[in-house]
Amino acid sequence: MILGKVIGTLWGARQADGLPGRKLVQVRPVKLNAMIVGKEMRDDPPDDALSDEVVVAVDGLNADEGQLVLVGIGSRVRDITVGRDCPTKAVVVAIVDAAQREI
Amino acid sequence: MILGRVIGQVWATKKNPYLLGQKLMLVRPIAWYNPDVDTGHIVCVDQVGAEVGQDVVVCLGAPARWKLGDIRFPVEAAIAAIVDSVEVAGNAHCFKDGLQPHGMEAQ
Repeated sequence: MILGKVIGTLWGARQADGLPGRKLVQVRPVKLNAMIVGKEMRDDPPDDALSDEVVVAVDGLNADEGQLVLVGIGSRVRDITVGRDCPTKAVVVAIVDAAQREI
Repeated sequence: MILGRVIGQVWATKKNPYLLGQKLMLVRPIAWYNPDVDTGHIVCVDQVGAEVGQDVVVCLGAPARWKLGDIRFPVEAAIAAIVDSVEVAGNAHCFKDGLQPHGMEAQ
């Protein structure tokens, strides 16, 4: 799983089967090198701590924009949480209270 | 499975029910690792009791769920073992607590 910040939601009028009814969020992963040692990272991490990449994940926990989330990436995680019909590989599995890098 | 160093911890209250009570550790992969999204970190479930600073072997994919004992865990990374030492191509690379991890090239 990786840490990331929710930067927005995705909507689409035409979607593949299995997607309608699912909330899709855009997540920017947190770069490890940008995590300050000894400082807790909570909601709304600064922009320079985030990677430029955007991962689109299915959200079953209703994460708000700006929240730090844990994204599981893998087809089996998808199977277990949202089911095989959903054509995605990334799923939000937890909303993070705090993450801390200690060394 | 990959080699990594535990560098921190993640706490979450609101999460998938199967993750309740599970310890989440922030791990930095030491050697070659080819993730879908390259962020330099991987968050793993820990049932072995690894502490920050220890080197660990992380189990990825389906075996991570087998290791945790239930295939319904929504995880793809679990800490499987705590490393004492690593030997590469006849040269010993010691990864005891506190030492900087090296790359996997033979010296």
